[in-house]
Amino acid sequence: MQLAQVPYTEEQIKQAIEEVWQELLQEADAENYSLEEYLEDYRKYWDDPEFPNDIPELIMRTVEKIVGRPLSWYCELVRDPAGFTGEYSFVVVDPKTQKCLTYREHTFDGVNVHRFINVAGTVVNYEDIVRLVTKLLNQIQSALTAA
Amino acid sequence: MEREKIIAALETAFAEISGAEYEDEPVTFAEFLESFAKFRDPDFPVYWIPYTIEEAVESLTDRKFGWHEDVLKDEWSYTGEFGFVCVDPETLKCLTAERSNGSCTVSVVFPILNIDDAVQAVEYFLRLVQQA
Repeated sequence: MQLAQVPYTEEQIKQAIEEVWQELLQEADAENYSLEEYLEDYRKYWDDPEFPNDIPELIMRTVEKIVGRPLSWYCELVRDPAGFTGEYSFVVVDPKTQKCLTYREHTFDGVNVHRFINVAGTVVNYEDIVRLVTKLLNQIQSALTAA
Repeated sequence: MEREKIIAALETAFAEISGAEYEDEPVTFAEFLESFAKFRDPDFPVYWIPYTIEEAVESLTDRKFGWHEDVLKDEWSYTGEFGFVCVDPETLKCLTAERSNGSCTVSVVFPILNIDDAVQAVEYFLRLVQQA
């Protein structure tokens, strides 16, 4: 598998986000609701179970649009005792090979290897969405290059 | 694998993770689960449960895996269910991925409210590792 758009620019990511947002609106029959308005409501009501669930869908559909095909993914909405923290943790798998595309290893002390299978980020505003999509695309591209 | 061996691996893993190995009257994993099932206290160190399962699987297989775990909650409290994703670092294969009806799911979810549930979760992962 190769990314459909390599290299991808911030402009392409922003365009893909907008296209996916319009698709989500059409599916929900809610045509006059800008992403900006949505994010204002999201910041007010993010402890409402309905609200945060749209963000992973928006992020992963944007990633899939740029990659050029569907991916399998799992997203944890990170919570602490006070509630939802605003952080999303994604695990992405290539559905054809079942290989994890977000796996990486890191050693903090040069001895012990820590294995991470997720990419995480906090989403409060539009720029956070762009940043998290970029982070996911970079990790997926790196996994594909290594393969 | 015998149930006793799995329980011993779970208890050893839990003692290490919770620090119980340094206590005079340590709480066992079975007792910890009983307390979790009864109170579902939001301040409970609930991640000790999935970490214990993962550590027991790694100790019984003598291998390391990449893990992601999620403690499921509803509006009010913990549901007692845990989501897991497991990746084999050698092949990068997601061992918990499953194809069904043309799509591919990534995680598995187990209720873990007592030691029997914990043993079943470990047995499930041991089967996955064996099949891989």
